[in-house]
Amino acid sequence: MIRIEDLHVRFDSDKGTVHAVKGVNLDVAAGEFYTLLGPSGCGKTTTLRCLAGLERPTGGRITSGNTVVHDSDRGVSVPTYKRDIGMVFQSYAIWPHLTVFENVAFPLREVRPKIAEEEISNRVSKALELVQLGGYESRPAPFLSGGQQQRLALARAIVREASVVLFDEPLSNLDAKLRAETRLELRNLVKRLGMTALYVTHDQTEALTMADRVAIMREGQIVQEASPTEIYNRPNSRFVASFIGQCNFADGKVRDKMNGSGVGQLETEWGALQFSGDSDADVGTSVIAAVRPENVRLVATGADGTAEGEVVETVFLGECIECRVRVGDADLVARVHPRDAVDVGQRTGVEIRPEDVALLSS
Amino acid sequence: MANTMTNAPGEAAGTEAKARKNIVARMFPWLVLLMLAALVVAPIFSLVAGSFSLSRLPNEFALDNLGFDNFYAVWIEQRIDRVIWNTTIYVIGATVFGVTTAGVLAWLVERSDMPGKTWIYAGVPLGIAVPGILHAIAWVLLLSPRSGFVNRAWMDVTGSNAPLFDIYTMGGLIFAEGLRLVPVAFLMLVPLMRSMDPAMEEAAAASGASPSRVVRRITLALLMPGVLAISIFQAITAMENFEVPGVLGMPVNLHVFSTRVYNLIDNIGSIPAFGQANAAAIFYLVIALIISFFYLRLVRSSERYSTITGKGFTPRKVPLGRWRKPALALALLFLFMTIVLPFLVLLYVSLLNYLRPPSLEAFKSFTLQNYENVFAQPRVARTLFNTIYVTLLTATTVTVVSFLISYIIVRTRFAGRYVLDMLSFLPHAIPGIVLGLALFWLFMQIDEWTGLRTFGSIYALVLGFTILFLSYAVRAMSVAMIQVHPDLEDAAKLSGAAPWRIALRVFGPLLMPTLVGIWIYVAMLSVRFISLPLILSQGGNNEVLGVMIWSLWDNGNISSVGAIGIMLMSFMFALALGLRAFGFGSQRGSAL
Ligand SMILES: Nc1ncnc2c1ncn2[C@@H]1O[C@H](COP(=O)(O)OP(=O)(O)O)[C@@H](O)[C@H]1O
Ligand SMILES: [Mg+2]
Repeated sequence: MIRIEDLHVRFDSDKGTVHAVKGVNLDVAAGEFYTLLGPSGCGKTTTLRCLAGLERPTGGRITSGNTVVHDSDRGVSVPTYKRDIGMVFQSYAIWPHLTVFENVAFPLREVRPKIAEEEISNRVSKALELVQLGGYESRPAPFLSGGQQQRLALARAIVREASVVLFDEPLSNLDAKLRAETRLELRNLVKRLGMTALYVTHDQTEALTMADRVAIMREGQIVQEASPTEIYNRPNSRFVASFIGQCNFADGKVRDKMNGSGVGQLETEWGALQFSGDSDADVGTSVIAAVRPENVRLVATGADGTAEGEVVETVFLGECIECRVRVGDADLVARVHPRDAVDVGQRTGVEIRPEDVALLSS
Repeated sequence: MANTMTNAPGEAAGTEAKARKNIVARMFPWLVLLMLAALVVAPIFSLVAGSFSLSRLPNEFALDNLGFDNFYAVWIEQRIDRVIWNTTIYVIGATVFGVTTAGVLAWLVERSDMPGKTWIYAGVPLGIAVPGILHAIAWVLLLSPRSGFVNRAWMDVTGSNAPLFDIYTMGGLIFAEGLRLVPVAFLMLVPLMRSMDPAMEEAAAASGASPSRVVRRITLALLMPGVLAISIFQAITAMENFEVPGVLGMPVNLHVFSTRVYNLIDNIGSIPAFGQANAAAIFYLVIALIISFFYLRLVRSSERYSTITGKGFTPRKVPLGRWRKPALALALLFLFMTIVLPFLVLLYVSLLNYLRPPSLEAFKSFTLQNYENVFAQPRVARTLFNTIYVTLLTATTVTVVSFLISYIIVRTRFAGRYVLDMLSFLPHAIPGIVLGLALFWLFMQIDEWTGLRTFGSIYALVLGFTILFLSYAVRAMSVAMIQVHPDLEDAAKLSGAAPWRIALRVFGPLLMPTLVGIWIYVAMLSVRFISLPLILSQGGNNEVLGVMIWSLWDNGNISSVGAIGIMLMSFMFALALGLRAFGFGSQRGSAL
């Protein structure tokens, strides 16, 4: 549905040139919820704006549906208003001089040939119902709360039933609680309407909970693209692993390649470690072992084959306790249930299952 | 509570002193309110009273000689309806021309990729430094029908005996005054355009609106309330202006309100009609008040619009393509016409021994004689001293008083703070010539009763200027004060600082740029404003530079006008640069 090929964007300003997007490629299937995730300033918004035609790429090709909307080589560039899109802006961009109804009706009134007033009114009401703003039609737009404005922006983006809807951090201006509630609502709505969504965010929870597929961006490039579970469990770089959730890292070497049962051996700063999965690292290669805190289990000492360490710090977080354990020369953070609390200074065994060890190239 | 409990009986005396202090603290806002009310109401009262007086002179005012005759005379004999009509055309014309020009300039520097923007940003506000009277005189020297340099050159070149453009016309009035409105309108429009989130327009494009529809349905619609408010503000300014219609309209009996009121009391060959002037001034004042009322309403309702802005946006600049250079040329032409040209024209005449159009011989005959002549006159030295004295005193008074008023309005729960706010805005609606007339009556009465000599004293000018410029200063000060977070003050309170120490050590330093900015701006206004001193000046005692230029011009002493004008303008430019150094113009533009 959406295809971006080798997209480049450079900004020339008085302070010099910024290469904001450096060769982004992506392919979004029809009906897919695709998320661009990355730290602020990595070029997400710029990529999205290129898709909308609000920014002019310096190079590359963008296809939406069956139409090429931008091709730098052939000098093709379809202006924004002729593209089949809806968009939700980070600042919502609700027009303060129009009522709620007129804000949503705006895209319909721009359709040629003109749509009958009655149909406009029906479709606006339907869109407002969908975002639970029914009954607010005649309200001047500035008299809405932040959450309501966000939903109004959403209604305006979907009312035209464009095939693609673009989101630029639409939830970042809401407070935490409202944000959590809105996430799934928004995803379900987009799914129900069968729209293709490209969603930009710097919030990893949003990306993981909403997306069918996540692309992690860094400094103008996509560094990994996968489903949320795979991104979380099998990050391909230290950057991705630490950007999404918390992660323990240790330098190590492969001692034994994967044997028949699919388990290999590592020698790490934490001691010997088993790993499994599809790594094809050769014996002797230097790697980084990555382990999520919730996958580290604290067990009784003395068990066979487990590493041992000393608890150096515990932090109570409510639903869990984070324990920092010194194992060998390195620290390892484990997240345990409050029931299994350990004391600082206590010696404890540490157990990590082979499938929870991700190998990153160092 | 904790405090009272620790109060030992021995501290009773201290408590009493504290209570006395408390009363003073509580009385203080009321004193300020009363003072302001007196400043605003007393002149208006005497103006109204005077309009009913049928005596020939203000100091012959008597309760048994009152009536409506003045109003009748003004309406029927003086045909004030014609003046209203003229004023309407002049005000609308100048406002449309001025605001449109300012709008184009503001759009070019804010939203387009025109080169050389910094020059325009810096240059346009400098126009404030050119006093209106010198601006008008420069245009007369260029465009008066027979002897204007431009018209003469035109007639010489084309052999035509009709001038290219006659400045002594309604068109000339509108042109000259419109140009004068641009700097302030520009300073108000720039933040308006800057505060508009470009996402508003982008959202419309993403909704399928073509660029021209975006402009019509979003851009213009969003800017409209702000532009309307700015236009009304400028209309008030144009209506109050005396200098430009005074120089360009009065000589050919093309009267607007300000010149008509002045004309009624100062017209060679006819007896001053003080009562009628008051009656005309009341028509004038009422119209100004009505427009100001609409202005206030508009500003209140447009605040609703301005609440929504996105965060952290860098507006995309509209590419002008091959119009980039022509746009810059146009902007530079404007700067040339409003700043460089008046200066050059006055410089030229100040260096001539007699007035003639520019030519090689004229350049060869340049002499500093006029400057020497000017300094040889004792009148000039005295006028210079008066001007500086009035300026320093006015700027300081206005700054201090506006600080007090704003502090009460913004930072206290004083019951009368809304009245105070209203009262401090009111003088904005009083045209300078009307206030001058009102104070003229007031001082005459005071002198009559007390035997003092308030009329014709230098303090009469300071008082008049203070009233005139207060509303501007209070608004700018309030805006700045609102931006100082109350926590900063509370933190000082918790550190044990007394209120006056807080004002001195927290507010003072934080507001210093605003205080200095207001001081300089008021100083500039006092130097260039001539309508009020024209009425209140009486002989050398309180003659100021503006008034002297006016009378020199009236007497046809053009060389002296040039010499003094150049000195005055240089001084104003220095002040304007000072203003810029404090970043005042561009930041606080919206508060003007
Ligand atoms: N109009 C612009 N002019 C110059 N630099 C820009 C402009 N827009 C974005 N940038 C720069 O491009 C980079 C990427 O910006 P953006 O796409 O907004 O990042 P993100 O949305 O991921 O936070 C940043 O370094 C930003 O400063
Ligand atoms: Mg962004």
